[in-house]
Amino acid sequence: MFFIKCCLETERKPPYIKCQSYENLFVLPYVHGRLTFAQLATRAIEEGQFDVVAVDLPFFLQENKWLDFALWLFPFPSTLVIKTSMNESKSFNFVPNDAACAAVYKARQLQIENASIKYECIDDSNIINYPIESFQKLKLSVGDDYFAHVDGLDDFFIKIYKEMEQKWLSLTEEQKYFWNYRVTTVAKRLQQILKSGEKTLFVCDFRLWWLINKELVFHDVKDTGVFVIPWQDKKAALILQDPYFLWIKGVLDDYPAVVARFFGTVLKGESSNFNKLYVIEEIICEIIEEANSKKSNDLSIRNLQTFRHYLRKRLATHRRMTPSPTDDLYDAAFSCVGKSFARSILEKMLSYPSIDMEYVEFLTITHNNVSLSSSEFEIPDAFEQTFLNASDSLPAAYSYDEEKRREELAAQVMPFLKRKERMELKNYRGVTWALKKEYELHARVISMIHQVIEKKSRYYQSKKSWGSLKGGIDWKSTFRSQLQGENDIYIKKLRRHGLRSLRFNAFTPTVFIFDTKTEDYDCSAVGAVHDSNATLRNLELENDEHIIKNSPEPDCVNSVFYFVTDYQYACNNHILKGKISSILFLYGGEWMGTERYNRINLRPDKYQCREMPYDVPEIRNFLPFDMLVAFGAKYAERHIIVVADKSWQPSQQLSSFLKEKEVAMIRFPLTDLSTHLIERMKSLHIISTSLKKHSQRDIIVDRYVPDEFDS
Amino acid sequence: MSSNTEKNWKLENYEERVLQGTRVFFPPPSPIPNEPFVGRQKFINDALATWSTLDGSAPQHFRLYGPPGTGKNALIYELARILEKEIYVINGNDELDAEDIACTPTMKDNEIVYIASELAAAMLRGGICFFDEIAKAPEGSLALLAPALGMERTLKSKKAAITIPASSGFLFCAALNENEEAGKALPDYIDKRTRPAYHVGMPSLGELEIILKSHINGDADLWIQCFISLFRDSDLAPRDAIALINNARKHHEYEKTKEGNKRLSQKAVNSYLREAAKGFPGVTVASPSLPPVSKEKKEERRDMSNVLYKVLPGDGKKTSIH
Repeated sequence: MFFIKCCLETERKPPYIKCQSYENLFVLPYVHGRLTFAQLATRAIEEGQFDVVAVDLPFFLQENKWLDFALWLFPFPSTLVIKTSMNESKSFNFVPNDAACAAVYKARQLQIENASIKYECIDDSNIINYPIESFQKLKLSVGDDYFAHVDGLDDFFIKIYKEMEQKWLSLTEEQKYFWNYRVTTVAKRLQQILKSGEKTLFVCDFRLWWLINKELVFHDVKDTGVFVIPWQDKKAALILQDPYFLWIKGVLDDYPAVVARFFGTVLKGESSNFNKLYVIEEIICEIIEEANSKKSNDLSIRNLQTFRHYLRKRLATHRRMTPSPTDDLYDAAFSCVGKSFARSILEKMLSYPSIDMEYVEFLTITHNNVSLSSSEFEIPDAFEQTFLNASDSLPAAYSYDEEKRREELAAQVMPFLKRKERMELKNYRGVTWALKKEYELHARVISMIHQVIEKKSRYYQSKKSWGSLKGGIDWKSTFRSQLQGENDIYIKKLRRHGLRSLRFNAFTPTVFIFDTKTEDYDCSAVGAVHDSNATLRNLELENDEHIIKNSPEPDCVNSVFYFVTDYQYACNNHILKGKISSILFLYGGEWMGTERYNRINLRPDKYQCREMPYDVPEIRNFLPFDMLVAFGAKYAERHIIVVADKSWQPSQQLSSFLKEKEVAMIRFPLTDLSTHLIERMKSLHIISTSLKKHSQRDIIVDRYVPDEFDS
Repeated sequence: MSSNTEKNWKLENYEERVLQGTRVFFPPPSPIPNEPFVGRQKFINDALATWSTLDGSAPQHFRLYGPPGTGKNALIYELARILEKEIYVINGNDELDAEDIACTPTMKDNEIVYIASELAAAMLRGGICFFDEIAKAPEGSLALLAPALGMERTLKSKKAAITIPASSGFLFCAALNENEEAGKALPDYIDKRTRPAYHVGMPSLGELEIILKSHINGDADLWIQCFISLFRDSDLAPRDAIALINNARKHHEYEKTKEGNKRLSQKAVNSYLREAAKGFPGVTVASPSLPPVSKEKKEERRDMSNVLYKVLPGDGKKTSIH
């Protein structure tokens, strides 16, 4: 076993609770969207030989083909969006991991195989008119639902129902009214079914069952009366939903890939043998095998052992059996093995069948039916919808923070723009901007390279002195020699005399040469980043409030130059990702904007760059990467750092140019940087002015642009 | 006082033990600062899980990386407080060598004795060893860490000819800065033995506010409020934020002695904070909301747009990136 240490082969508990009040009633209380209960539902139907399966889906879904159609679409998830008012909509999700949907799906499957089994949707149609607060007030955090398998349903819900007692007391009379109305409606319909004496399985939200159970004990269900809001037919739409989005909202359980495999077993009629934890393990093992076949550097046996132990420790500490996708699995993979492994896990675990097409069917909902409609409406963004059968009472690990975290992680696999953001970013403008996070990344890498070279230049060997003092007395070794009775003086012998007095700053030009194949270079594809003064910056930003009359003349200086070999657009063309083959930093500090301009502008004129490499006649004919080195040397005081592979050698032309300019070239092996960092540095992102000015810029950019640092 | 007596006096707090026939002096634990620690609960939980033995396996070692001043050290001290364990701190530097990691020889009573490192003391006594700035230590000096952090859990000193086995309560963690983590500052064998690696980044604004409230003495609510609204866009580490506010308050105290006791307005606090911020690179003051634009200014802008392409280098098309 990879991470599950305890034995899972415990005695199988029944997948339902036998109702005390009715001989023919068996109940499966469930939490919406949790795979554990969906599996219990299919197992119950496979094993229980029921005549009727009653579910808490709204009554209007009962007598029509649309529920069947939504289930037929499985495993593709769909949503029924109901427009309840001008600005509000409520939705029902149809996913294989929801117990009610899974139960109906299984019953339909048996029907097709000629079994005499019926299914009934008995929830109140008016549920779409209930105020949403009445649900939210009864929001409970359940623990790891895998324990429902281990402990049985009765034991699993005992603690939760104690908390429910307290929550119920905190409800207002108005909120209680809606719950009571719902309970009475459902209880009446359930009684009606039970009267026939048929063996019935009732798959019901655990909170609703807690209330209905009390009602059924007395056998005499009160009359519902007329609902407080008169029924009005509603516009609705059945849409195909994006699985990534459903995962973010907690609708597609912890791991969509596991849900997909579960559905596979349902199709084969083998869902009784499905075990979520085994499948999670199976998928992790597949990822490890794939990584091994790619000979990933990250994945050593020691790293895997660390990952395994750490995951177990986390689960034991948090008293969970199912690893949380974010806090446990992703974080453990990231911190124990590395970013690329964590990302592989994420990609594999989030993979779920989806169709790259928009499917919308407009409908009308009446009190007891759903029919096709020609009246259309704007479908609200998935992030603005309220789900009536999801996002409620999810495991304790699921919270608002978890949703944010899932949003970040899902964006790594499939970046997205929300509807509002799409609308705000409609106007694409030509002027483009560099990214703060990339400025910071470059600044840190350059500073790190400076530190390493400086450290190496100070590195010395301790040698016994034969008269010379070289780099000074090594006191530590000298004292040691005295203590041991040697009575000698030890001196520091610097390994690299030429670098002894090296000191760099942010203005030391640094060139990164990632690719030395000249055929990949197009000399006209050299790009530059300039830094403007306040006047120019305001013009470029279209900050109209800026008083231009009294401002200095617009001006800018160049500080970064690069060769692009390939580029692609993302985020509706608001982000351009360039693949760069070499890059020169004349200024490697992390300051941005006018502050950066001011700093560069404080330097002597000869160090301020306002030209492009190909504008300098003496270097125009150099090889592209040599051109960047030469151009950097032109603006260097004493040194230029070249970070390149050992295979790169400066041409004769370049060497003469450096000699002429009296600039020393210091080489730093590219291989001394981690492969992740090199890959990250090879990408350069630039953004449109609309995105630069967007209030949520950083959040949007984070979805499309990888993190600064990979562990 | 002769140097020898001074050395003897210095060794007074050290515990003398004879290990495998060698006299070894073990240093006392480092004092744990009595500073409040707030927030960062996730890191605390993660670290405690790493050090736990709940699953029956030995505690794992970990490392923290992140920008300076974000509370890496404070986090370790908090863990020591929670676990009620002694902490032994080693500071990585260029001069550190392999003997410093194990035992260094010295003279006592005209005899060669050995002073054990903080790592050796933590291993022997079952304390926490915190290797701060581990990436600053020369690569060769870290070689002795490998068996100590590996399956062997032993520290061998060739010079002293002793082997110190780790007690079951021995815990280890290291810290390094973000740049070093991003590069390959740690040798592979240390990198793999100090995982999981946790990134300790800048706290959220809410978290920063709580940290500031717990660390700044006296009635500082107004200062903190102004600080948060003024520097919300700056990535300021808690340590710098505390120093900045304290500087600004000292400045105010000094002014008070000259100008007498005046009621402190929000504007004055902002001005003190702005002044103090000049000593902190990287601090950006959040911009206030922009006023509406007049027609006249729009015209001006259009006129100036024509100038734009004249000042752009090259042909004005290729350098459109800022």
